[in-house]
Amino acid sequence: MKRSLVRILCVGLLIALLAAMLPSSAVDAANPSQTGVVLENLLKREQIVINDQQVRLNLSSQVISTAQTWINDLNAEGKDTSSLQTALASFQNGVSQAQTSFNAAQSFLNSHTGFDGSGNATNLTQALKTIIDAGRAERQFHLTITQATLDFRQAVQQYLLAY
Amino acid sequence: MIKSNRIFAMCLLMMIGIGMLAACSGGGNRSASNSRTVVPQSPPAATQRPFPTAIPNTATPTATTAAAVAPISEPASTSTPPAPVAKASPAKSSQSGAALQQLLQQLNAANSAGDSLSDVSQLK
Repeated sequence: MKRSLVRILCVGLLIALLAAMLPSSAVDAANPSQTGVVLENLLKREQIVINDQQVRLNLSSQVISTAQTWINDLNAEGKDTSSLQTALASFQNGVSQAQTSFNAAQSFLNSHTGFDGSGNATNLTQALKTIIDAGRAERQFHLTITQATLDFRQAVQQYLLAY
Repeated sequence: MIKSNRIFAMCLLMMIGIGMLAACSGGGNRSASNSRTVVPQSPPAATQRPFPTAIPNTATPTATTAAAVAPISEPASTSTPPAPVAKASPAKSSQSGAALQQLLQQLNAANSAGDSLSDVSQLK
């Protein structure tokens, strides 16, 4: 009896582990209502992300204006700022590309095709496409702005070390 | 006679021993001003001398502390006025540089904390 109970428990634990390891995406869910709920949650998540990315864009524009002020101050002191100007131009280019991705993601989320005005999934296929398109644009924004920030920050550090 | 002599000698030795003990322990205080105060001089000298010297000692620290307070306040008052004057001219670029570094740090932190959506972008 005890051995059989232990076996049953072990099998149950294995099943629970396998279920936890399975992907919980909307596509894999067999139940349409569950798929809709997952898509609605993903829409909320992407709306939170787009707000966060708007904050990062605002910070980036502050960085650009402050960097330009710094370069002007350094030029007034007769210092060579050519490397900083190049790095700033590259950063501006990255921010511009990130802005393009941001606009695309915002457009997908504003149209919310496949969702109603309250964010409920009305057409699963279209809703899934909206989630995928907006998610990819938001991811592209994240990758672009992160790389541009890292590069510009490194250029500023190198300038400060050199002078 | 022999016995009485022995007893007398014993008594003499005991008297000498008692005298020595008294001179070393109790009698030393009384004869401190005398010439035999080589060993017991150090304890009373240590207890007696601080009292008369304590007055000049307390006078000198107050003089030194009063003198030490003045130079502390004086350089503080003299160092504060030239500091902003000397740092006024090069502060323009350093201030904007510091502001830029702070903003870059904020942006970097926001990027690090931002949702990368790597799982969503893999949906098909």
